[in-house]
Amino acid sequence: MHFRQLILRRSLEILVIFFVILTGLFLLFHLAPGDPVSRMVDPSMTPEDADILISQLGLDQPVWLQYLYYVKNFFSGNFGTSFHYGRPVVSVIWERLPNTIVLFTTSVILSAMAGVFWGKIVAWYKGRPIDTWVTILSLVCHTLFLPWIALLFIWIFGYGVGWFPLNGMITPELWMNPKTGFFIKAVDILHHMLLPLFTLFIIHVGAYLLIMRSSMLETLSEDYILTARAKGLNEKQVRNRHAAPNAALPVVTSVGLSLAFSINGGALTETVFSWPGIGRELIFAVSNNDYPLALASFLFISIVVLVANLVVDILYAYLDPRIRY
Amino acid sequence: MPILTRGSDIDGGAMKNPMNAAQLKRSYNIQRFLEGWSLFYENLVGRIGLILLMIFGLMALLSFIPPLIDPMYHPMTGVDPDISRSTPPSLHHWLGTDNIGRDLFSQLLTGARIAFLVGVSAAFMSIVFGTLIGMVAGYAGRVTDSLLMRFADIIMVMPSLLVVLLMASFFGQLNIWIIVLLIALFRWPGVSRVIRSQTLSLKQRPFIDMARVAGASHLRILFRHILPNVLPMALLYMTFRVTSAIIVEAALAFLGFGDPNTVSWGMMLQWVWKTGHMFQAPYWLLPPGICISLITLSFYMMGRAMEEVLDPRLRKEGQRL
Amino acid sequence: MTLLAVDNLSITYQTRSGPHVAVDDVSFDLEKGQSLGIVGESGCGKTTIGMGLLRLLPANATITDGSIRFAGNNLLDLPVNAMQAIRWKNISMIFQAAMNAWNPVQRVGDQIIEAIRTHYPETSRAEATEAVKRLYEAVDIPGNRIFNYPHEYSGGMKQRAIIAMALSCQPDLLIADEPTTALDVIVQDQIIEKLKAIQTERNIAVIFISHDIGVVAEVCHTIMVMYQGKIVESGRREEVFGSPAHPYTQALLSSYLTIDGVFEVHEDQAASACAAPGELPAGLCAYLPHCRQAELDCRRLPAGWQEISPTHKARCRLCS
Repeated sequence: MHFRQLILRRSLEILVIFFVILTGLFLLFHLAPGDPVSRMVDPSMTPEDADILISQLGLDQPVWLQYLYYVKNFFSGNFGTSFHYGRPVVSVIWERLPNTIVLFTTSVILSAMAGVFWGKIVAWYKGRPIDTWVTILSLVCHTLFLPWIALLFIWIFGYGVGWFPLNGMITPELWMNPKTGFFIKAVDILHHMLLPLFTLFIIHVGAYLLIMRSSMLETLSEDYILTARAKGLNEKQVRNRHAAPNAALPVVTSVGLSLAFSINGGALTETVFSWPGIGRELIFAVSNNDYPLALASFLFISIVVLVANLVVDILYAYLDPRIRY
Repeated sequence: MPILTRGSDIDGGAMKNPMNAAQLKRSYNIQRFLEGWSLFYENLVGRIGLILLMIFGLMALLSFIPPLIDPMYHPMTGVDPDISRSTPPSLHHWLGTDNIGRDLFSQLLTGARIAFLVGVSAAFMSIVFGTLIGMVAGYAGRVTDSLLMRFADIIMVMPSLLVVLLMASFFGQLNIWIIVLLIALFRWPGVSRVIRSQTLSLKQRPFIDMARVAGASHLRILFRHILPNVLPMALLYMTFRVTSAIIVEAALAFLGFGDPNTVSWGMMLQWVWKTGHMFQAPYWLLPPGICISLITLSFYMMGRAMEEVLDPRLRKEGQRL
Repeated sequence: MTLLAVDNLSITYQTRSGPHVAVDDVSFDLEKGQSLGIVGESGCGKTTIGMGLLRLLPANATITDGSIRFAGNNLLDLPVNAMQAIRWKNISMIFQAAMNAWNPVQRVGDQIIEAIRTHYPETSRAEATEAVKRLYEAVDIPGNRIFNYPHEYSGGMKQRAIIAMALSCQPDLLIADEPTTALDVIVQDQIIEKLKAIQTERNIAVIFISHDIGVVAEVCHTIMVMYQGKIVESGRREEVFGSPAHPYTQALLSSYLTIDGVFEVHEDQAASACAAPGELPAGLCAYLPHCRQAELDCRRLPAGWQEISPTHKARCRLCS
């Protein structure tokens, strides 16, 4: 079936892209000014430990051999040791990655769904005051500066009315108490997640809404809408069954195209809200000159973006039969 | 019923005032420009965007004035000797001061200058890259095209902010121009796709074939024939690129990776955040954020209005063509 | 009983350059099982009539006058949901360009089933599928193609599927708007034969709208020629086709691909764009600027109906 072929082909493409990124980073590592060795080996290590690490990472070998070591290390999960944390990079990534995935995925899904839903409704009221207001509002939301709005939200909702915690993902006291059940822990995470989620949501929903709206307006002038009306369907049925499924397709494409942009926003949000995710980790690692961690974080963020792209492509193929047959 | 003119009148008229081809073309272009301008101006969105941008432009120009009035107004180094903490707006300091006594209003004005600088230069550079690559890809076709577009795809997949951050870590502290270049390097793929498809459709047109038959080299065809036709699209996209350049610079500065010698709005936000004043000093927190958002909004509005001028399909019913 | 009685129908569009009268005082009757052909060039208002009958006019069009009596009821007085019930079940339509008449993301069979179940909600999916299978047999589409997507159908197949869908609720009246324009000649022929067969077998009234008078003459009992929103000639097929009375009809018939391949077009007739509204004083013959046989009186006196036979009339002063 063509669907399977499509997924396979796309996955292969993604893999190739990933390899290019992997190689590019390697080149960057070696071409940048300074000594590459000092970038992988913590200067505060003892000479013996440093020697072990150097031979493990192949840093004393010629460059092309180093590249092979590099690739092999990547696939065996060996990214070196974090300067800052003093433990294997992979363990840090392992802790942080799920947090980012949860926040990122939820925000993208929620804002896309809301954008499609409201965009569909707003297009129906085109020309009326509500359309104008919602369009203006979406435009404003789309252009708000994310870190600033995040700070604003913390100030108003966290500090001001005290509904939300100011930062972090969990309330330490709650989690350290052995008696708190799973459910309470889950609710705690959710409570901490609401404000960063809301921030990301506000920034993205505007764009999707506007795209859905213009897509609906274009779709409504198509011939099959006339057919649907002629068949005797009422307006609501025409809108929901025939117009919206077609109009939603460009939104899906746009979600895919803006994934890199969204992950930027995700990293910024994590930093402002101190949400312990991989984006924040990257930023910290860069400030601390913790090269192994920075490199690995970036690689994993790229993986997240690439996988998300793949998911969006598959979703699009599922929604638009013309692609798969 | 049209009034019939006598033949000689028509001919006589033409003989008396012959416009040669070049003059005709120029006046036609001027006429088209004026039409485009009036359409743009009619559009409320474009008007608002333009007015806002003019305000920001004014701010940028005025930013040179405060240090001349009194050295204490210098955004980076000027310190009010009487003040050593963050103060709310007052007569001397219209927006108040930051925590080491620097005037916030002059910082805001300077931020406008930096925003325009960074935004326009980064956008310009990315348009130059994108247009060149798009034209070459569309014109050369086949292998070159696929390679270049694959390359563009890979760049598009990477989160620009984070890549620039990574570069920052490897290359040490960045100055503003390196930042501009890096931003430009990661923002050209979008433009190049559009330019490429335009080039592809232009390639089919007869005048390209004619030029080739006449012996024009590929380079000449590219620059003399294709470039002028893709330029409007390129300029349009430049408007949108400015917004993303400003945002990336602001985000970088906010995170602490900006050029420490420049005062940008993102930098201001960094200071208010890192010094823990975000809850106590709304006069410090609000203006830079509002400015970043508004300037982004105004460039975006201008871009949308320009889109309507350039793409007839988007014009609303009832507008003169 | 007369199935459809249209009286003094007038439809106006609001355009950028002012109001444009697309249909001007059009009246005609249609009996059950009879077929009527409406012929004219692009822009003469024939499609507008078709849309108007189903009340599917775009937002900038208004029915300014007249009535449409279907089975005794004036359709223009009905509330929207009553009209929705009539659509497809009593009056259905085959659109121009079936290419785009199908929702690309829904299977063809599902779209036809939707039509059936909208008007017969108690039908189960299995029963509806059976009905679709039978319809497909009637239009010569293999049954295993029912649940394909529209882009998997060829142009002719799409058109035939549209016909199948149009028949799915057993309508009394079928409006076919340029059903063969976008197809190649051989397929055109097949479709026309199919339509003729369906019409006689199921005793459906058909309104066939086309710019091609030859096609219309094959299918329809009566022909109505339209020019700029007005009917200029109407009569039985033999009369209009055999002895056209109005100069415009004569021009239409002569601009034909003849047997030796010469495309004869009268120069005046080729100019064909509709005269801008308001250019001619009201009441005068609209064909005046292009008419080769116009007399001096035509410029002064309004053109009224001339009866040539009880069934054949033309709006031209020259016909007797």
